[in-house]
Amino acid sequence: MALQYYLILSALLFTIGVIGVLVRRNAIIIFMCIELMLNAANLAFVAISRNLGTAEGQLFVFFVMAVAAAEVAIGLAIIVSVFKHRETINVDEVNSLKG
Amino acid sequence: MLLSIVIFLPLLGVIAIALLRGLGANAVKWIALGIGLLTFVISIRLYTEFDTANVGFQTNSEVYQKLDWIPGIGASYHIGIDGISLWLVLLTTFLTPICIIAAWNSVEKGLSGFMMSLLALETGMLGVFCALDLFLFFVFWESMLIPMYFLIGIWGGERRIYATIKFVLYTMAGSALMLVGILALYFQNNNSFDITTLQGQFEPSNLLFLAFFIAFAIKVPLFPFHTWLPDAHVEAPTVGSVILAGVLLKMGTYGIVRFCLPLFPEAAAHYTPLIVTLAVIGIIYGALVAMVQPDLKKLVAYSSVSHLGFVVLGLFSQNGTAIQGSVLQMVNHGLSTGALFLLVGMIYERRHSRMIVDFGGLAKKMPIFATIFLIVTLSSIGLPGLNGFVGEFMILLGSYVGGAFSKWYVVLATTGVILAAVYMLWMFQRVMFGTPDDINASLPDLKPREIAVLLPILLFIFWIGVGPNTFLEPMAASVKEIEAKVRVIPETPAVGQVNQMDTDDAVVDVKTATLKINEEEALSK
Amino acid sequence: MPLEIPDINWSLLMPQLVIVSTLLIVLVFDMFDAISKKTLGWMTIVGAGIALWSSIDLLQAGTDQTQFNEMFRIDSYSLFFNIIFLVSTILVALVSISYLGSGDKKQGPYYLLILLATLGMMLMAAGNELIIVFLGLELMSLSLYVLASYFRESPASSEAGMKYLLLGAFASAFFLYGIALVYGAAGTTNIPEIISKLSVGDQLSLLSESPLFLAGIFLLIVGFGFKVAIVPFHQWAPDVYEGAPTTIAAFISAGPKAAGFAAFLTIFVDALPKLPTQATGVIVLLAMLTMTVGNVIAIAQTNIKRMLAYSSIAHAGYVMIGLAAANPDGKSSAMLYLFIYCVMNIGAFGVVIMARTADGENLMISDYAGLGFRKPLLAMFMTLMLLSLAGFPPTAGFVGKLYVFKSAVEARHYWLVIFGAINTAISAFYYLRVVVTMYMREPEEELEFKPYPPTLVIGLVLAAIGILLIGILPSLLLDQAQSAVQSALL
Repeated sequence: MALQYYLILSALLFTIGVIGVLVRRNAIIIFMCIELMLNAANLAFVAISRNLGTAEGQLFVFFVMAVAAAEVAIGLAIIVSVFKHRETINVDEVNSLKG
Repeated sequence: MLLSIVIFLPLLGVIAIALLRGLGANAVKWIALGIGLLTFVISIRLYTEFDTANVGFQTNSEVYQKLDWIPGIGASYHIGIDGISLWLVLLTTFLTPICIIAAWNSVEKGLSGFMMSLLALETGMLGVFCALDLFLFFVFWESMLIPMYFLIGIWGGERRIYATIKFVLYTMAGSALMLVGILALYFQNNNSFDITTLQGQFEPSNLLFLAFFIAFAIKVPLFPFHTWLPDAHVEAPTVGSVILAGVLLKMGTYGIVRFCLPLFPEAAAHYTPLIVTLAVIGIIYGALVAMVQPDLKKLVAYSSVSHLGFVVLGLFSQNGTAIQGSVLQMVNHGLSTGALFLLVGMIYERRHSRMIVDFGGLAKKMPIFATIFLIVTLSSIGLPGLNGFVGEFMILLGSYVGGAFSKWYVVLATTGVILAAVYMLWMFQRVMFGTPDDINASLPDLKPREIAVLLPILLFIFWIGVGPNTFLEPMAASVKEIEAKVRVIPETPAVGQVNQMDTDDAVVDVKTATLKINEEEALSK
Repeated sequence: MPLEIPDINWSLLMPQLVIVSTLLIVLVFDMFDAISKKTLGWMTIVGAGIALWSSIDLLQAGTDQTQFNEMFRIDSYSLFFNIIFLVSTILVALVSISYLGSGDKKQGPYYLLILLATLGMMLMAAGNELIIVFLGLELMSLSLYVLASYFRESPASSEAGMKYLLLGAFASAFFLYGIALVYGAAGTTNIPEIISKLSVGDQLSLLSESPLFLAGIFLLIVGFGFKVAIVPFHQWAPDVYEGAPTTIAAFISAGPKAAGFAAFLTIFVDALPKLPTQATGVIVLLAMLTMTVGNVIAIAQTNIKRMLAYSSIAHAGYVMIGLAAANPDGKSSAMLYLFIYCVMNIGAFGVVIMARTADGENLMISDYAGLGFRKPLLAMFMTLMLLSLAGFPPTAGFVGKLYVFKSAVEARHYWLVIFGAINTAISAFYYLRVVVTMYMREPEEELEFKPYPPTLVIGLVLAAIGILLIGILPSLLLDQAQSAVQSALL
């Protein structure tokens, strides 16, 4: 199948992720949307790599998955810590810092 | 080395005071005074070694110095003086020790900081006058802002914060433009900041001229950029006002002579009508506003706007006599206005007021004060025989006879001289004559320290008035060179030498007549 | 397929290896309660110091090589940035030792994370491959998320961490997707190869106009924009700086910003002349926006940490000027500016830490009233840092700004320079306002300040000496930056 379909799918996934980050207010959901964006990039990497016939892109996906896992671990820990203080993870309500 | 020593000796004093401040207030004062006097004494050698035959910058290796500084961008430590900067350097080194003595007992808090600011300021000002490298010039130009900022901001009057911020922002806005101009010149000057190699056509010359001119016009200050000046003067401590009026404002006019005129003669000619109009407006506006000021210090401040209008008028006349007069007038203004601010400061210390209405009849109780005040007032008005006359006369004569603009400008400017006589003498009359009230009657006359502060200034007021050639000769060659560069109008018959000017009775008569009228006015009240 | 193991010249990797071993040592020693936690701070400093020394050593030897199949570049450019990062790390560690106090059990991970972040920055500057840059970026960012929320008991710190995390991860996703698109268009992620593919001979190639590639470049700009906090991607910065521990705010404002720019410059300075002119236009516009918005909003701030946050946004704008110039001078001026900026900004935050009372830090600018005469040392440091940030001679900040402006004038971006110069004047207003408060206003209440911790004073003295030395003798640093760029050209 032609490369562009994969790229269009990945662009769609990425856009959904971006919209999700901008629209949703729950920190966990925002975080999931970011993961979706990363995975859209992964899809693009794999498809391009296959198309070019090189292994580089496939390799990058592993790196990205590892990074995403680390990000989730840290992210959830921070979100839990915020929840302990505020009893909420709605990003609009967590707004004590402003000037 | 000599010039470097003069420039950086005050900075050494700053370090010395910083290290020795523990020794107490007296030690700090004496260190500052010692450094100030030493700098002045050394700087006299600049005059004695001065070679009047030398057209450009002095080539004497004692004075001229060029060292690599930042080879990566073509900036060098490059200093030297010519006939124009010589006098401004001497004015600076002369006024600083006077300021130190004047501030002897009047600083209550942070004396060491005060003296350090004063000396650091001196280094900055001297650097501006001596730098022959645009980068170095800009470094000194900007760095001198900081001590001035502290002088006004910490030791100033009630609205000092407003005044100091206004002062800094005005200056910085101007220098921001100048910086762009400097960088543009840099690339057209074969990637070098060297002032001595700057020549030829710079593009776009009109814009570059304005970039420099606005920065200097703010500093001068030329109408309508003058609004920071009265605020800064009124809020500054006495010494701050003296330095501000005496030297800082001259940096603006010096910049015009050094950069705007010789580098962009055509652009300068192009904008001359506009600039001269502004200068004349400044002369008359400054005089009129000074006339209605209830506050002595504001009056002197606005008189500065008026006086510096004359200087700018002369500088743009494309006439050697007028330019020479302008340069001399820079020094004159530094002396007379400096002295006026000192006198106002002395009376303020006694009376704790600067309002003219609070005074009256001081002449009876304070004869020495009144005498000195009268001399300085007359010098500021431009009485023949005193310094102010020589400068103003040369400016008016030169620009009337050989100016690059309509004679009407000069005629209008001359009304400024008359107005100056009006507001100065009227002020003098209100402050000095009449019957003193109880408070004024109890004011003590000047102390020996205060007289010692004023006497050296008086000496020069008379000296320049009587024997101006001592001062005009060294600058003649440099002024001629500038005149040759700026002259884009056809050659006009040169005006007689300066020492012959007394023969031009007509103008002198006008002036003395005005004086008489005003004196009569004063007496009739 | 036979597996080829590339030759690795370990001596070239000394700086990175030293940092890795230091962090392992810190990790191990943290387990022993008998060892004072302050020792860990000193270990960090010594480790970073050795790495700094070996970076300088490599730099002076004129090293210019790649490692790991051209993925990793050890040349004077990356080594110069190593110096920036390591100097920042040392200064932050010096400031941190007293800030955390010696009784705190949690200090091991703190220094560990600082070292990890430093390693990430070094990877970013040395990355010759977009994916290495990405990994470095993530290593750095993940450490910083944790550091920002390091004071778990403080709601502000957790909140700062969360905001930083969400926006940072969002930006990383943009960055990654940008890499994917560039990879798709260019067929490689090796930066020099991508740039060489942009032109054929003197002509621009098709790639430079390919929509896929330009979309990728645009996403990269967005991703970098978030990381280095340029307008309009700056909103996280003030919140994070305010909420995070002050030492970490100093750290985030310095090293990571430099690291972001290190990668930004590697890609864009060489690529910009080969891209459509609109790309330069975008960078110029971003630079103008960043300076102006940063400076104008900073005027309205009453909290000093927020003020410094907006000021650091504005400073990113000045660095962008060098980037927009897109010439060798632009690159070296941006490098020089970043170095100077890091030192003076950490210095300014250091003074904020110095002004501590028993209740904690004094973050309102009005709290600084009257310090000029009651705390002369503190006020002097603050004045020096602020004057340098404002760009007054004879401080380093002036040299940095002048050099940046010069490169832009050379590239004929006159309006950009005028904008920058006017912004300098605007910025002087709020920097000097702090000085005004310190020297010219009387305090409303007498605050009892804690005594100065010696390590903090050492850190500030070092920063102050650096600022004055570079201000008076700029050649010390300027020549290094220039030769770093020159050698890359040859």
